[in-house]
Amino acid sequence: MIKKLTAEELKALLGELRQKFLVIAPFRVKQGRLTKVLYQPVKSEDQLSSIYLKEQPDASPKEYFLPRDDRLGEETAGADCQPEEWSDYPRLFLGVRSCDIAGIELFDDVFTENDFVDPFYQQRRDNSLIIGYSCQEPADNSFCQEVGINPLENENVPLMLYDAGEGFYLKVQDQEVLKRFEMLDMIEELPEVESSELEEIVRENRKNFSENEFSLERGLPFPEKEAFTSVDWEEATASCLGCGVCTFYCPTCFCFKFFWEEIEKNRAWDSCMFSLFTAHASGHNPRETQDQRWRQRLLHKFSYHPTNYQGSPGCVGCGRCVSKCPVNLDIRRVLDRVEKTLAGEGVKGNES
Amino acid sequence: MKVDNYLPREAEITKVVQETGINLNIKTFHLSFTDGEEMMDFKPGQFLMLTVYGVGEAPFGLACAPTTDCQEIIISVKETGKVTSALHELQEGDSVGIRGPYGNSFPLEKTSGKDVVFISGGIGLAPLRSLIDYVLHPDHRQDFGRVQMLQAFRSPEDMLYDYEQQRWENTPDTTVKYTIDRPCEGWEHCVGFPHDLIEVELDCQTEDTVYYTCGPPIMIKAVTNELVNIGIDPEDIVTTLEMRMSCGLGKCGKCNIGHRYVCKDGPVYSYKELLEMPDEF
Repeated sequence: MIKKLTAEELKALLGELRQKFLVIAPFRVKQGRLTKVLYQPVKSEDQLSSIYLKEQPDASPKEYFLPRDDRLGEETAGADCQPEEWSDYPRLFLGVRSCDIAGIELFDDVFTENDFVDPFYQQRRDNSLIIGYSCQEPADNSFCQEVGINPLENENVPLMLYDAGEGFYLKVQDQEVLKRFEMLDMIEELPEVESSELEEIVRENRKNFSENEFSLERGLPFPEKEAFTSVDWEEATASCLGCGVCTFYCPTCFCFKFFWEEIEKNRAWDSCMFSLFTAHASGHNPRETQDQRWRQRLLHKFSYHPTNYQGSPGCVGCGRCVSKCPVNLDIRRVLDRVEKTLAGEGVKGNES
Repeated sequence: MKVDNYLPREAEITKVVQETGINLNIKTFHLSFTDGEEMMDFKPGQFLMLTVYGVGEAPFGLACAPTTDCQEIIISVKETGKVTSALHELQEGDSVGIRGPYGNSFPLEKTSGKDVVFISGGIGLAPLRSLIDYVLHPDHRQDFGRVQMLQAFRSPEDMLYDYEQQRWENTPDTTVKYTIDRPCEGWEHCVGFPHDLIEVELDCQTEDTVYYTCGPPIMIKAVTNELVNIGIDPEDIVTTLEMRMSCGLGKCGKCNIGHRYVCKDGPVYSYKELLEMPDEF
């Protein structure tokens, strides 16, 4: 089912949805001298007209599922203690692009596995509805198609929003979810259109996604031990400062640590790019140098994670780690070197 | 589906044993749950996450065996970092938190019916003790063949479990040998590093014998190399790894080696498995 709606109608729909959901959407936000696009909760009706879908948000919505600091409970509360109710409303995420949807799916794989469920993640996830958004043009440095992601369409969300210049299309992909969240009435009145009308728009937009200069030739996973030992990681990643910004912006990075405030046990993001991440109390450190940490980040995404999850990539190609890196250390360049080394091609010195 | 909220059960310290002198401050803690619920189910080789309230949490290998008369949890702790230092300050009656058990376990099925050799270095004896006590327990002794132990310590001062050694030595078909790094007055046992003593002091069969070793990383490497040199199949050499860990459930990322998480797929690995893994431990 595909519905056509004007910008005004979309706003009215979101207004109605606000009665049921905490709506979280991208906004242009001033941070010092920079303007960033960030996911933020819609706090009032007038904010609806400022929702900004045109650009890839600065960060994925991962912090709404795995918060940067997350209160787990009092450390004396016991193993049967349930997570605190953190929200009265279910949450609706508007305008989530395919790369970030894939990031959430990866979190689902990791945090709601058969042998382990993270109750904090599960509660947030179960209480969230995602409206996807079809990209009209590639984000800076993105290479999503190289990791098997379709930026224009995504069947893994119940609703998908398409910007048609003059108004929008809303594609309903899962009626059951709409019933569960009692949304069917809200969109009933909107005019339904033929799928060909939407297909035409997608076809037009697809032209903006020409062949990427970067391509991933090899299937995943990369062979673990060979990639680990045969690549000159030091040469490829020498400029890394170890700041960890790539992992914090990464929609798929989920590593964490615990910290305590008196008897409160909390969880915070951690990063394999930090020297202390693996350091033992004894002083021994399995990853002593920054290139070893870089190797961990890349191989976790392109070898270890795909090995554990049926070939599913641990990278969604959003390009944020490239855009955010203070020394322009581009994962595509390192991947290229890894692929060349694995293919047995001689790797020339620094190509940059 | 197993849900884990990362929060521990409360346990009380029922006994503290000072194992070694001040040079290698190791204490053994006996713990029992205070919630009146059952003792946790565990297997030899597994570990737990221990919380010192208000300080933090760290992983410790279980140093007790899940035998019928097992009433308490036992861990041996070397004072090293923040959590272990705080734990060493605690006394009988104090409370700590326990999560787990986590990880795989020593391969009991594979070991059943075979001879067993234990080679330990220092506090590496602690995780092996979970299997030693299991194998030597009257309920299980007949399920295993001959047992040989070679325990290495820095000095006589640094010996662990001297109160258990006599019992182990007296178990049928069991030999226990001790070695220290340097000769010392009054010491009547072996002297030298364990890998140098394997061939002379142990009767190493290549068939139907499983070799367990644990100790400092450099000692594990030397011992496994020596065992392979004398013809032992890497599949029959078993060790247990120590890594920094936060969650114990294969999520937080710290103990990741290749596609494996030491907390979940380990900590117990055969040397054959270690050879297949990236060298990052």
